[in-house]
Amino acid sequence: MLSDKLKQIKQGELSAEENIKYFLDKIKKENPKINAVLHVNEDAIKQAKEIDKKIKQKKAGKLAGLGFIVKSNINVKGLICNCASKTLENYKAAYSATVINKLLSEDAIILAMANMDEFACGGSGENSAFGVTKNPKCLDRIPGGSSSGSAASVAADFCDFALGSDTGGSIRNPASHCGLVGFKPTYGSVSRYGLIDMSMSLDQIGPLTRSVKDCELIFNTIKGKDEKDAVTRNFKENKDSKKILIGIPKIGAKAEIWDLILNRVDEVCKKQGWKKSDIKLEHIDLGIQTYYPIVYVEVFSGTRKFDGRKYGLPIEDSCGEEVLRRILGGKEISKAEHAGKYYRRALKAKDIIKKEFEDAFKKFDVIIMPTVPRTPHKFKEQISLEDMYNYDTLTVLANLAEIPAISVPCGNVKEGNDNIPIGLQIFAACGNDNFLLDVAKKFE
Amino acid sequence: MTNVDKIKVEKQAKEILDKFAKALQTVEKDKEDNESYVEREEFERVEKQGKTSEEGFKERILKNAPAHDDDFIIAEKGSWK
Repeated sequence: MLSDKLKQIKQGELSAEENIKYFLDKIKKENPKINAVLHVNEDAIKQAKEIDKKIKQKKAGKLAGLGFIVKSNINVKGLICNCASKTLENYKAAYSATVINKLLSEDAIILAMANMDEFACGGSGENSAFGVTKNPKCLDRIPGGSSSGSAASVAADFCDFALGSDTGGSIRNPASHCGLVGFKPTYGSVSRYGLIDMSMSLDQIGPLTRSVKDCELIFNTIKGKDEKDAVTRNFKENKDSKKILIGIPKIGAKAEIWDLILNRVDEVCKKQGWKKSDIKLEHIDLGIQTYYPIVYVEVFSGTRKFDGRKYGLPIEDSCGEEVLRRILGGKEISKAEHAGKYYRRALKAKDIIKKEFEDAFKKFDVIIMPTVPRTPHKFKEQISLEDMYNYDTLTVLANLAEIPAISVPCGNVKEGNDNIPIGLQIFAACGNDNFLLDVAKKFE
Repeated sequence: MTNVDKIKVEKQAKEILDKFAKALQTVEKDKEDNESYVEREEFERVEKQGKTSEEGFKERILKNAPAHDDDFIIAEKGSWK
């Protein structure tokens, strides 16, 4: 628990320098096997020494001495922020994202920039231009993505916590596969200023941690209105976690996964005196079909700046297959929009899904389902494009509905010699992020 | 990636988009088109002082540019020039 470590640091039992040195040594020793980290912050030890001075003077911030790893699409001034792409291979960030400034102002220390699926396009961790990231919990299986390096870094004990971005499940999906807590906050509750966007109407920055309490600590530090991101606002919470009605939708997922989820729900309901009931969400099966046309268009639009003039290389000449697929697909839609056949239709479906969740939360306090409907595949396994997209079928719903969602570990499924972690996903109504975190604590 | 690969990727993208668009056909019936717009009383924005950028920002930005001449990023000349 980070609160215990912070206490140790505050009481002088552990210095920031010792903490940072431990992680840097571990990264040096074990990263060649996992490939979770792309670039280490060479100044981390120096910065830790400065924080130690502040701690002694009792002037340190609330995260003093903790070390964190950042997904390589979040700008950190002076560090390489290449989105795991050849397009931006040597791009050095000229400024820091708001979330970074908030964490640094509380004296957390940046350890490294993480590997990821290129430009956040992917759900497996296989799409990086700098090699796949391995899953520290099952080395021959994918860690999930696109925040693959962030998740693997926390799971491999390379850091105290990590930051990722979640457009359709990119925090929750790898959290589920790596046995971690991954949180996608409400759209607009955390600033995206300084995030290299994948799909601006869906992107959200969030934490990956080992416990919900750690997640809460980081979320409460990075949340809040930011004048540099026009969609941000301070949300007022209107729920408490005393009497809870849980909605369980009927959704296709591997039977062993559903068993784990339902058993955990039963246990918690019994212990907390909460109730559960089936919930019908009519358009829930259209998540993927709604999500991808929107993403394709926004990827095409958002990548027009990568023309090789201001920085890097022209994207169409230097990116990988999945990024190119989204660019070309988005280009096709943007050309004539085919009388609203793709994008407008998808926006309509997004509105319908959002409304369905709004109505559902009038009756239910939270909705629970698996984070990912299947177990992660092995690296050499051939998998179709549609199957790959379907990894996100249950996570995209929260992005489309703009609501907060969290994945918490809820057990393991045995496949051959592998003991694969499974995530339980909880949704709450828009803006009720801290309520959701309170509920999630009971499921750990 | 070769041009042949690019064509293959483009075809794949089109195929999957068509499949998704077909699956979303039903929503056409479920939801009416409702274009929304905002009508403002004031049309002119008051220009403020603006913000000065952080020290060294321009230098850091220019360091990433493939080619620059003092404060200017050099882009390629169009074939019409």
